[in-house]
Amino acid sequence: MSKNITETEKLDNTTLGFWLYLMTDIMIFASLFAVYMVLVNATAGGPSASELYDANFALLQTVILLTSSFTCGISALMLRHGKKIASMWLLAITAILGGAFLALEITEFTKLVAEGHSWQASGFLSAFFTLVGTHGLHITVGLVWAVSLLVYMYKTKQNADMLRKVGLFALFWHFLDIVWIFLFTIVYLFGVAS
Amino acid sequence: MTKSLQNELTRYVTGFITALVLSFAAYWLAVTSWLGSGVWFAFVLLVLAGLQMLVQVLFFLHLRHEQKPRWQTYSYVFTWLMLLVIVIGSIWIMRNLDYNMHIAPEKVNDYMLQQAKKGF
Amino acid sequence: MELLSQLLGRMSLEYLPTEPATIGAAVGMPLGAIGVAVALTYFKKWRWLWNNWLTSLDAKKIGIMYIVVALLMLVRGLFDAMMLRLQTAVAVGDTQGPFDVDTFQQVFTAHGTIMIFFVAMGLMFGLINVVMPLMIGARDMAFPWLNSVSFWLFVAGMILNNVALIFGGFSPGGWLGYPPLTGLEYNPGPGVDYWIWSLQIAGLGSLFSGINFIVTILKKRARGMTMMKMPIFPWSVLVTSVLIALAFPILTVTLALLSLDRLMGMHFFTSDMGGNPMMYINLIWAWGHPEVYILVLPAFGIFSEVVPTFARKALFGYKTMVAALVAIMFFSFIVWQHHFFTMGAGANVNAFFGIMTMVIAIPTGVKIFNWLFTMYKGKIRFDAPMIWFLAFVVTFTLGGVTGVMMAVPALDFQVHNSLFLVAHFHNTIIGGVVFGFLAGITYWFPKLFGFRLIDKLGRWSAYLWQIGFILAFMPLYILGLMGAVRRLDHYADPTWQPFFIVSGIGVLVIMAGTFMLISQIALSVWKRKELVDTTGDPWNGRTLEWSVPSPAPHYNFASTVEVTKRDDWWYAKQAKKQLSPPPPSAYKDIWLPKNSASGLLIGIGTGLFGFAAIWHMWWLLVVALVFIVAVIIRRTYNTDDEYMISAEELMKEDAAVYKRRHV
Repeated sequence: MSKNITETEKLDNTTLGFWLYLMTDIMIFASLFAVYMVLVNATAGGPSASELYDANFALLQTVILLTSSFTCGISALMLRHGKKIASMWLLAITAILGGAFLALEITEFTKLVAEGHSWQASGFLSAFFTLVGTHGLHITVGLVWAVSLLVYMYKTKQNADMLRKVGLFALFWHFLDIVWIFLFTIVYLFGVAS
Repeated sequence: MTKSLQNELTRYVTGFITALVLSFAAYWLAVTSWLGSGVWFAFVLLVLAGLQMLVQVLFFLHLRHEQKPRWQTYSYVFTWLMLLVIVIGSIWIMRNLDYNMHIAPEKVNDYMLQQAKKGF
Repeated sequence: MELLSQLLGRMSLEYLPTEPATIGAAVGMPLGAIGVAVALTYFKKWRWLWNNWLTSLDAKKIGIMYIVVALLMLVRGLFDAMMLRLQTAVAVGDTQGPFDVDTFQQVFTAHGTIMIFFVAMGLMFGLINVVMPLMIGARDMAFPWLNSVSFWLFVAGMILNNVALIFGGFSPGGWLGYPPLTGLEYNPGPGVDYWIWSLQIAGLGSLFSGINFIVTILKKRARGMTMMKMPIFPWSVLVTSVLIALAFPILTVTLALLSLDRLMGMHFFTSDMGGNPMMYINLIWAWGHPEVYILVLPAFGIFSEVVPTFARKALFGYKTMVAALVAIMFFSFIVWQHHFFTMGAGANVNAFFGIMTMVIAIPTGVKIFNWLFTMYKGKIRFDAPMIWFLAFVVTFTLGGVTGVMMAVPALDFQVHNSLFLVAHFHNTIIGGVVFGFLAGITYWFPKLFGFRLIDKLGRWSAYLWQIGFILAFMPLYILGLMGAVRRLDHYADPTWQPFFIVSGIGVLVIMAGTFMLISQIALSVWKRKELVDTTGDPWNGRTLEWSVPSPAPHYNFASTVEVTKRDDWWYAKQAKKQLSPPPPSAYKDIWLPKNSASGLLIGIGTGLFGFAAIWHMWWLLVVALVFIVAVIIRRTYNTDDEYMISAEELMKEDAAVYKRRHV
């Protein structure tokens, strides 16, 4: 079937469109970072950043997410070279690592809430939970996406559309890791050192 | 394994290792307080984060290899520019506001005297 | 009882309207909707509506629907304005106005919100959808389905905004809803939530539109049309879309944080527990200032098409036009603090943003001069679009000048939040945005429907709007300097009253102008046989949209378009190229998107989601969310979404077009 839009054009257009969506997402995180940095000292008499954060815990999260970003990239690479099975395995590992990251984040959140430092406690904590939670929400969406991709890849023969879908997911996942670098630095490391 | 696949794999591994090193370096600086926790510390940590962002963009997102016209690169640079404007601008404005407006009621008098000396 | 409160959230009968004015609207609007439904059933038009409009992915159809919704909202917004001016014309000293404080507050909030988000934005998206692809030689948007989703999100936001009138009341917090007034403590009711969700949903639609327009312009231009050969209107759309893509996320975040304060007891913008209401004001204007350029740039783009056509001369200073647009794209992001000079930032901050504000007036001035120089020595025809343009020059320049006045922080301290400010921004928004879009509608109407509008009525509408504008807003400048603040429902000084009365008369004249506009459309539809446009090029235009027949076919261009220079169509006409059809090899099979109801379904789902969040009906929230996700996933795995038009068919239709040109 010769359509008036070729597959490469379609790939180009959706990649650029999705890329621009990521740019809008950058602005979402930028606003949240700005809010966090303005409110970081607004502790309302409660505990401050240095008393709440654990640098080792955050480092563990960083390593896990970075590794998952790496496996995700390799997964897309394998698919480009026609190795669907390898690609699926790597995507599965990515999802598992993403799940582990999310589990750690939930642990951290529950611990904070259990100690009485919930998002209602101060402006600072509201900003913390919202900023980190928004990233976590993105990770959750990514996990749902990864699982549905795995089902699709399992059921379908490799084709150009699959390459496009996996490529977009890889963009999204790398992007989340880039956001995390700044969360790690500005929220956790700055917090620990302050 | 084809040549191109190997090349690309090497690129991912290089990116991955560099990113890991940069993360650990930042962590080490924060935990040991080697640079203290002042402006220099913040500056160096932000530079490290910026570098890691660049590494990931170049090695994982392949922005280097975009074909012309490089709309993705342009949009990325412009977005960063606007991000810095919004974040730095907001912090600057809000610090100013906090300084001028968040004054404990009992200190208002002192503040006014101090400003009056400056000649408003 | 327990179950009922689970089902209905915090709904109760006390939220039904009690004021006569709101009761009227609450009864009138559903009656109007039922009337339309009955008429559709009676004339058996449901299937036609569904197939030709509601599920269409054709950008032109979507654009027309945007414009229809926006014009309806314009009428509502004008009625709100009349209520406001009626109140201020009467309520002086011991006399009370017809509306109580609460109603008055809700009315001015609704007026601002509706005019910006559902009139100005609606007209803008409508016109962009209608002509932008045609102007760049594209068959459609880059993502036609996303385009339909955007439209239905816009409609969902609009409906939520209007449902507030019927059940629950609207926000009293002004069009930007500053906390702590809009926080949980002072406004626990559903009004503020209506405002939040209506904007949030419409804003999401705008965001998708912005991305869609950027990709369309960057990737779908006709062969040979480099960026610097593109007409100025698409350029302005590109810059506007970049602003949308980078500014609307800030609005999304700001509204989300306010919502979190209200729903989850967080402390972003509360006055206690470390919250900082000033941060809200900072954030909302970081979006709000780019927003005014988002609105006005497409209007500038329209005038950049209208003026050369009616002056029969190429646009003066094309390159400086583009440079000015790009400069505005950058500078519009570094002036936002001028909206709150008086909040208490220091002199350094105020000085910086004040100077930046003065700087941004320069590219705007460049554009005005370019249009004037385009007219210079041109053979000008004074059709209605040109009258709108002249009205624009006078009004908008005045607004720009008062804007530069207020860019001086010291002066701003005198007039901040006074009626002087209100007059200023109406000067720029009515003079710039509304006049621009009305000119655009008149200009492109034949391309959409195949017949022209009656020009005389259009000119009269422009005259009435212009006179009404002067009557309505010049008194406000004076009142502002006399110390009248905005959002005033009652005042003590009787010397103000004459000015308010004149202003009220001005609104009536604007209403007459709007009536003239509506009757222009209605009468033109009545006499469409006499006004029919057979050539497809009624104004002797310059850009590609005039190279196709009117109304534009759903596939836009029958043959593959190729462009060699700016204003290609004009030069093609000089060489008489429009008379001979292209060779058969120029016709190729084309694929167009099939209709899809999923955009409409997502709109319904999102509307319900917002409604559930407003009334705390958590079960409905979950149901709506699952529904939306299901629709999206179903759409993603639908591969059979295009249909073909064969090359032979296109060639046959095109041959008829060329035949008509010879007559």
